[in-house]
Amino acid sequence: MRAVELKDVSFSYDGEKQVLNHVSFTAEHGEVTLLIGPSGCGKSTLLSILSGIIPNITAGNLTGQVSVDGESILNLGTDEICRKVGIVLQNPEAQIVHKRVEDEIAFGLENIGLAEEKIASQIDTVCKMMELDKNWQTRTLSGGQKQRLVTASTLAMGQKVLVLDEPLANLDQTGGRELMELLRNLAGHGYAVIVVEHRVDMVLPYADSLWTVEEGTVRKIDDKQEYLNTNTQKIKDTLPEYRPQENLFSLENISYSAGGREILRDVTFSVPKGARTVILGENGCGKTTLLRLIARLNRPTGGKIVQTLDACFDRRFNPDKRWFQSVGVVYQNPNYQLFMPTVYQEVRFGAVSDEYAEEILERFSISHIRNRHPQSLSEGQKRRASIAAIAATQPKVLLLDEPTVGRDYQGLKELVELLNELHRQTGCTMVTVTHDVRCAEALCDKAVLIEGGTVQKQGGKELVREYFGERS
Amino acid sequence: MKQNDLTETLLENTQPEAPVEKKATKEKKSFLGYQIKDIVFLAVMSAVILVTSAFMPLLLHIPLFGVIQLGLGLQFSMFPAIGLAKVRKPFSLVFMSVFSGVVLLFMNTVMFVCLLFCALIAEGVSLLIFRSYEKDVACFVACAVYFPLSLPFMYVWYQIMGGTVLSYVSSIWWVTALMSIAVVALCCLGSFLGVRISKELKKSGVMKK
Amino acid sequence: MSGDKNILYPLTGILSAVVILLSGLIFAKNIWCPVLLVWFFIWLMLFGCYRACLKVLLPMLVLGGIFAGITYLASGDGMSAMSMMNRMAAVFLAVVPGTSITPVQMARCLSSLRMPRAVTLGMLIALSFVPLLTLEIRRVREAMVTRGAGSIFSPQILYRAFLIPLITRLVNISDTLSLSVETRGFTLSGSDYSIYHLQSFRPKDAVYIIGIVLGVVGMAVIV
Repeated sequence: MRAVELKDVSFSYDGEKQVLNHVSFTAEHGEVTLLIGPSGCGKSTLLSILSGIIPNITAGNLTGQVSVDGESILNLGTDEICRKVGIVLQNPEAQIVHKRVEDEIAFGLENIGLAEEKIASQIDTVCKMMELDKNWQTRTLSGGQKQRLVTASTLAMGQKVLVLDEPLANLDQTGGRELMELLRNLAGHGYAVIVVEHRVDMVLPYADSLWTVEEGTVRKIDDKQEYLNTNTQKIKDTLPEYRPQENLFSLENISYSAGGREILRDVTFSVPKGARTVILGENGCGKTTLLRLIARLNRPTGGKIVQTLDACFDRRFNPDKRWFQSVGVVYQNPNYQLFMPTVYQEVRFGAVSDEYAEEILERFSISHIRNRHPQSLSEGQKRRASIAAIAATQPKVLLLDEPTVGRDYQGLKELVELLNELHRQTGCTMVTVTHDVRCAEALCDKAVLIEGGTVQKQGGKELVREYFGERS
Repeated sequence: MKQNDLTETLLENTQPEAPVEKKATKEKKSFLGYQIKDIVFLAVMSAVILVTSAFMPLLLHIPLFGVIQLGLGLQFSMFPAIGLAKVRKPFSLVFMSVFSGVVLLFMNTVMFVCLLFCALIAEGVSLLIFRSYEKDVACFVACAVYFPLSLPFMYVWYQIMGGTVLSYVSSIWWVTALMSIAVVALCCLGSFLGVRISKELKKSGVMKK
Repeated sequence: MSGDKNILYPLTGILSAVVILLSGLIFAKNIWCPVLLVWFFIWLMLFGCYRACLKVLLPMLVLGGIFAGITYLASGDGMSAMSMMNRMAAVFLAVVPGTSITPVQMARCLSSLRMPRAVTLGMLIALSFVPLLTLEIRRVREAMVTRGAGSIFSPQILYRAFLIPLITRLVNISDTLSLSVETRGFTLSGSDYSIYHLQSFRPKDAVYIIGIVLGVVGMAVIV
């Protein structure tokens, strides 16, 4: 009996535009099924249908047959479907209800009416599987631990069909590999595991079958290896070799502690002017904190950061408008940095001139959506708009925090090309924090590896290759 | 324990003890017409009200009539207006009062009871005039009226409970009048902003009905 | 405020908070009121809320002193100043039992009393959401600064660069949270649910509440 079967399914949110068009899809018990496709192609819609979110929570026109373990789920409510299909959604931080790991895992088990002693046993079991401590406070968990917690909360409910929407988005190489090994093991015990993920290189070796979703249709790929070869190639660096210049930032014995925890210690390295520096490291090693210290969003608790941007910035530490016109910070989540009513106004806000804003709109290929509300754009377009808005201020330094998270291969390639082109034209210094193997080399003149809160190694592209090579 | 044994334990615990015969049902499970997403959004808005009103204990005993309402008027009108503009159902305002009231219960029990009544009256007034919250103006009126309604309640409370200074200050008519006007103006502004933000977010597709 | 958790049965905590607050306000003008408040303070300490008691002590004395001083300067009346101090102390002491109750214990307690699940879920989220919300507010403010948006005290900037992104984030978080809650089997009516680690009313809670009530009765007798 098939774990999941969709037959001739069509779906439209508004009754006009078909998101899925006469789609058929199957997933088997004992297998890991990977679903891939460009952003906005309908992957999440497909997951929502087979987990009952559509049509129970999200309305729309749904036709066709959807069955789990041979039984149609179209007539069931989410409270019944959730006993058959477990779904792990994106954005783990927003899904956590409770303050303690134990209570969070217990939440779903209470809802399905499990007896107290069984709840306790399930909590102990999933905590061991996911390497969590049930007494941990959920708000102090790292991104990777939060991802493990939401996975554990679903896993504890014991459904034999598991659906995971981009589970590796917040995980580094090691964390991602561990999660995939666990899912492989579950499949070995008869689970049907369905994973939607952009990081094909990390998931495909563990997957039994591969499906693509494109323009509303779903297709099974028979030759996995060929697909892997063509869609996971490292993006090539098209820029000429960097010629060493003076240092723009020199970090001297930097340390940083927060909430009684030492995050960085004795960090010493420099950011050369006009270079593209990549900061590498596992989840929670202090990469983002380091970027924040360079951006002056936090003050180091020890050591100093010498900058040669402008002497006037030495007078006071607290960053002002002028500082951020020189040092552009691009957030991982573009939603925070978009607030104007149109894309044009967004780019014009803080731009050096109206003419330059126009030029940036063209350069970032967002001119055609200039009158749209930034929040109405797709995630890829939002990312472009947010970088464009920062680039319009002509910053001398661009600090990018995980700019490629959640991007499909094509989107990633375009983004890297865009950033490199911007770098070539403006000569700005770029510092990128990333754990994406596909693009790290293409954004790198200098690499700094952070481990255990301190600089482990420094080098060039060879360090990137060494770092990702060791972990693959 | 090995990973294999753990997986088996996991499945064992969640197996039903006896096979349960269940009819496939798809009744829409709701409470007074509310769905989970409605309740969650109202709760999130209540949390915003709580966080932005954290300084309330400081205002509690400033001997000036209406000072609490003046300090908290903007957040107690804007965020409920956003909540109501998304969840346009009777009792939305009452729900928000109850959810934020859990903390108020400890900080200012009188204010909690008072706001619960105010929410009921504000909803009653708005629904009486506009029949439903379909129009933005109905949301605006309910939220503009909601917090200022606590003024007469607090006036009576001050008269009964207040010390010499409170009674004295609230007995100066022009102070009372000025503060009341300022509170009403502030709440109208907050309510207007709330409705305007919701309109913009609806237009951009962020906020769905 | 963190500290003494799960010490009191949630309803006992709520009831005692209401009694402490109201009795503090009612007897504020009485010369014996400070004795009653000290009794409450000691009683709360004895029943395990000592961390929260010690945490509120300093702000209670400082803020109470400031407001009492202002009242004295405004009225020249020592009794008014004292009653102001009493009211302030009652407010702070009423907060103490609240800090000993975790949102999850409160929700489980109310669920066990068959309170509508819509209400328990709403309360749970409203209380648990506060840390995440504080974080979101900080992130939005920070993002606003990185875009060179200027001061939050400018009405236009407040509206455009702070409120719009903040509410956008909250709507997104709320959508995800509700999906997460619903796909984990939560329903507003109908299905059976169990309660994990339910805290029950113990003799200790009875003794605690009797002590609080005795204090109030004693005060009423003196008055």
